[in-house]
Amino acid sequence: MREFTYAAMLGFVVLVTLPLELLLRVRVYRRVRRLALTMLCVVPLFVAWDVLAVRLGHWSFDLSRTVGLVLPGALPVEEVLFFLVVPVASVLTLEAVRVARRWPVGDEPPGDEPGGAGRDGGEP
Amino acid sequence: MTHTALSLVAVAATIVLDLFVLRTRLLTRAAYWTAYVIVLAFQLVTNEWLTSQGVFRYDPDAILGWRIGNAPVEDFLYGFALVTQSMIWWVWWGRRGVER
Repeated sequence: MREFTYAAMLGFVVLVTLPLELLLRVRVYRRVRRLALTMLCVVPLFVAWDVLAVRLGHWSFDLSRTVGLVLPGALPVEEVLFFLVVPVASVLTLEAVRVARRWPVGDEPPGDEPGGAGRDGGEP
Repeated sequence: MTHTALSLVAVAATIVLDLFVLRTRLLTRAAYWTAYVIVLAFQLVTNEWLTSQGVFRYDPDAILGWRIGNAPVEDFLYGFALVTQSMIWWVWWGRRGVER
């Protein structure tokens, strides 16, 4: 079971955030184009950083804790999945806060900000 | 470049991206900070678990050696960059009218 260590953590994150989509209805997975574009802007950069870091020896992986599928660039498949799971979970969390608190995140159409006209609502 | 240096660059680049390049200004918003604190709490748990299970090993010369639990402090700089950039781009694409 040790080989599922990393995968289990990723599964945990996906499962724990799923109620945000299904129950709180934040519509992140549903907005698939927007999510895909977001991932395109983030994933390649961080995968490249990871490949570089492994090449420079900053860190390494205990492959016995992974399912053993290593991708070009010497990254375990779970590491690449990490770069899919974490951004999605982050966006789910941001949208959940928006839905729960009704605070603006900055993509509201002009004139539509909650908290009254002329006030940048939601600033700490 | 060490992991420390790279992650500090990433943090700076993220801040510049948010405040000056894309001007999403998430770092000024309560919604962002609330969401980030929640994600950070989960990161503390999951990162600690993975590191203590030995999934990652770090070159001592590439990090400062300061740890939060078992995880190098650099991981939290790295995490800030990944998490914040994800949110920044999501907001930016929405601003451009993509599935707002």
